[in-house]
Amino acid sequence: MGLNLDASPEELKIFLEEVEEHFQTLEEDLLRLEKEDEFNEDLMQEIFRASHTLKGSSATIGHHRMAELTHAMENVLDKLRKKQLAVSRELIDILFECLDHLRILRDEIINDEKSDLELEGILGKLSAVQKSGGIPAGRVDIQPPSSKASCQESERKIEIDLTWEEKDRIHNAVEQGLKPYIIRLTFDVEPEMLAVRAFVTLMALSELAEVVKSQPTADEIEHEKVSDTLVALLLTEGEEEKITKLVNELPSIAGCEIQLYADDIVRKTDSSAETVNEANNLSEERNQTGDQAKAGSAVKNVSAKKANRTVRVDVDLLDSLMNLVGELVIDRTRLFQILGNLEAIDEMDEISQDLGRTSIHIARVTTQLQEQIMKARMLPVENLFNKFPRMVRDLSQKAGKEVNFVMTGQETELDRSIIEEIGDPLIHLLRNAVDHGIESPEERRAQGKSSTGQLKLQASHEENHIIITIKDDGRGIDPEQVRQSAIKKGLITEEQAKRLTDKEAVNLIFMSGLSTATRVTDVSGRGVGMDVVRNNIEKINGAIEINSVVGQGTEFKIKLPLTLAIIRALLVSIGKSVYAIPLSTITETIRMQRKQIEFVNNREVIVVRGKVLPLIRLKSVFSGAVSEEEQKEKLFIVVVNLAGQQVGLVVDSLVGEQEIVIKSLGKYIGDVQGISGATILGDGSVALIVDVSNLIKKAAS
Amino acid sequence: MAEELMDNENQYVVFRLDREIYGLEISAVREIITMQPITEVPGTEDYIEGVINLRGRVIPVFNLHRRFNLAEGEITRSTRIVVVEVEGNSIGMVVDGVSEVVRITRDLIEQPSSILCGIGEEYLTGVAKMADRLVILLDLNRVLQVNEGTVLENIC
Repeated sequence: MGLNLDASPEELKIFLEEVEEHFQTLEEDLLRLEKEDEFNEDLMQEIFRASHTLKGSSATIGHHRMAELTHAMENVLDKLRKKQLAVSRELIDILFECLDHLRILRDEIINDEKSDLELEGILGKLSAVQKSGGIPAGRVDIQPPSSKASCQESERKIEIDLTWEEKDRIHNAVEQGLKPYIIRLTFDVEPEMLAVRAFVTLMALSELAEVVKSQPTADEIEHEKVSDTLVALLLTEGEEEKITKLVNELPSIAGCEIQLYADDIVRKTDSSAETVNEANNLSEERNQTGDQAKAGSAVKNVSAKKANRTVRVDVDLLDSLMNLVGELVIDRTRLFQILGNLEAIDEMDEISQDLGRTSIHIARVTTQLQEQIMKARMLPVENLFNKFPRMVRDLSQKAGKEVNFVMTGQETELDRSIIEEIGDPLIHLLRNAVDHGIESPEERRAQGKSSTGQLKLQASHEENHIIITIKDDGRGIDPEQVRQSAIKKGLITEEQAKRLTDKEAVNLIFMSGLSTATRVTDVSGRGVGMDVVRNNIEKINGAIEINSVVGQGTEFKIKLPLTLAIIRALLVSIGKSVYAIPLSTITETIRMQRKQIEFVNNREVIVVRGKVLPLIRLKSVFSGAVSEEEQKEKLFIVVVNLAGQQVGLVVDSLVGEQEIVIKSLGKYIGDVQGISGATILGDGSVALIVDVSNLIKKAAS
Repeated sequence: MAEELMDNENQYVVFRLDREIYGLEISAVREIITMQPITEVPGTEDYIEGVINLRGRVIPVFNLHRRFNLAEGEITRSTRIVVVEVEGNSIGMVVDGVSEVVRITRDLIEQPSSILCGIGEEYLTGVAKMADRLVILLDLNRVLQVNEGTVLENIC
C-alpha cells in the first residue's frame, strides 16, 4: 500500500537526505544531553530545532504520522527547553524510542509502503511525560516537604537535603565568590493555586540566582506535590537585599526567611545525600529568551554558508567517474608507449614532438583528476562512528556494565566504499568489547579497577593507510584458555598448542571453528564470528592485529587502505604472467639460493634471521607442480604477513612497484583460489591480484 | 537506417566455429573485436580462456571450442572475440571468424532435436535451414551457464 504523499520524487529525495541529518543531530545531542550534568541551553535549542524542522517538513510532504509524532516530541522538548521538565534517563529513553520510531516512518517513504508500526504507545508515553511534568513512575523523588517541619523546630535553622554533587557545586561556587543563601517562603493562597504560585516563585528566583536545590523540586511542583512552603538554596553574586527585594515584589508571599547557608548543615545532611534525586537540574538559569535568539541565529548563519558551497552528488556518479579515470590512467601509460615506438622508428619530427608535449600535459591532468576524484569519494569516518555511542550505550545498559566510550579521529577520511565495508566488523568488535571484554562493575571493583570500563575507538592516518583501533581495559584474552578451547574443538593438537607463542595462541580466535562452534564465552568471550570479522577486513585489503594482556584489556588494530579502487602493489612475474601482490601485506623481499631451502614435515621452508618461514611456490599454486629442472638456483621470495602469520611467496622475478586499479573478475569467473581480482597494466594487458590471506590460510591448513 | 523487421524474423550474427556455422541473436551482441592477449586465470573451468581488457573493463572470455568439446582451434587472422552482454555483464567468446548479419524467418528454424550435430542440444534454440547452409542458433544463457551438471556428449 502506497503512502500517497504530497510530494514529487525529487522533493522526497531531498526530504530523505535532510531527515537523515536531523536524525543524526538528534541522536548525538540526546547522548550529550544525557551525559552533561549542567543544563546546556545551546544543546537543548539544537535538539528542539531539529525536532521542529522534522515536524514542519514531514507535514509539508504529507506524512501525517511522522508529523504527529514529531509534534508530540516537540511538546516534550519544549518543556525541557523551558526547564519545566528535568532530564532523566527514562526521559532520554523515551526520546530515543521516538527516534527509532521516526526511522521506521522514514523507511515507509523509502519503501513507499506503510509499516505496521503503532504510534499509540509512544504518543501515550510522550503525553504522560508532558502532562505530568516528570517521568510517570518508578522514581524516588526528593523526600516530601513534610520532613522539614521537624527541622524548623530545632534552632529555627532552615534545612535542605543535598547530594554530593550539589554540595560540591556550592563549595566551588563559594570559592568563586558566590554566596549561598537558603530561603524559606510561605505562601498565602488557596490550595488550588499553590502549585502555580510555587512555580512562578521558583522561576523568579532562578532569574536572579542559581537555584541549586528546591523543596519541593520543580518536578514535584508540576506533580502538584506542594505544601505552603518553598525552601530553596540559591547561589548569587548579589546581596541578601536583592533577594528580599525580589521576594517582596512577588504576590501572595506570607512569610520569608533567609539565611546564609552554613557548613554544619552540610555535615548533617551527609548521610541522606545518596537518597536524593539527581534530577533536579534547575541550574544555571539565565536570561532565556535573549540567549536563545542569539544562539539560534549564529547557528543559522554558519549552516547557510556551508550549504552554498556544497552540492549533493549521487554515489553512482562518483563510481562511474572513478572508472572513467581508471581508463584514462591506463591510456596515459599507453600514450607514452606509442610515443616511445614513434621515437624508435624515426627521428622525432614536428608532429611527433607536438604529440609528445600534449601527452605530457594529458598525463599531468590525468594524475590530478585521479587525485581529486579520489578525494571526492572520501568521507570522514564520523558518518560511520556516529551510530556507535548510541549502540554502546544501549548495549552496556542491557549488559549491566558501566562503559565510558570515547571516540577520537572522527575527521579521518576514508573512501566511502571502505566505510560501507568496515561498519559490520567494527560493530562486532565493539559489541564483543562491551559484552565480554569489559567486566561487570562488581568484578572490576574486586580487581581494583574503576567500576567504569574504558572503551576507546580511534581512527588515524598513517602513511598510506588508515588505522582504526578499538581498545578496552577489560579482562583481556587468556592465551591458555584459547589453546585449551582450540584443542577441545580439535582445531590443533596438544603438541601444536604447546609450540604456539602466546600471541599466536590469541590469534587462534580468528579460526572459524573456534569462533562459531559454541559461542565460546569461556575464551574471554571473544569468539563469536571473529573469523567473519577478519575475512571482511581482508576482503578490502585490510589487516587486523590483536594486542591483549590478561587483566588489562584488549586492543584491536585494523589497518585499511585509503581507497578500495586503487592500491599500491608489487608486480612479480611467474612464468609468462605478471601478478600483483598488495603492498600492504608485504614485509620484505629476499633473494636466496636454492640450497638454502630446508624441509620441515616435507614442506619447503627457509630460515630468515633465525625464524622459520614456510614457502609457497606461486608457480605451483597457479600452474601446477614445478619440475626439478625448472627450478632456478636463485630465488626471489616475497615475505607476506597477515594477522601475525608470515609466509614466503616464491616468484620468478620482481617487476616493480606501482599503483593499480582493482577490478573484479566478475561472476562468470567467480571465486578463484589465491586470486582476489585483476588490474590493467600500462601496456593494456590484465594482471591478476594475489589473494594473500587466502594463500596463508591454505598454507596453514 | 534499419529496414523494418517483419514480425516473424530476427537478425543474427553469424560466425564460424571449427567447420560449423553458428548464429547469435543480434540484440545480445555488443561488439566484435580482434583477438587480444588473454590473461589466463588459474583454477577456473577449462572453457574459460581467461580475461581481457575491454577499454578499461576486465571481462571473461569463453573458449567455445572447449565449451562444445570441439577440436582445439588455431588462432588465425580471422579469429575474433564476440562480446555479448547478459544481465549487465559483458562476456567475450572466441570464435574462428565472423561472416555477417543475417535475417532469419521463424519458419526456417527447426527444433534442435531433429538434427544433432557438433554440440550438445542443450545449448541450442534451433537450427535454421538457409538456402545454402545450416545455421546453428545458440541459447546464450545456456552457453554461459556456469557449473552446470550435464555432461556434454560429442555425438558426431
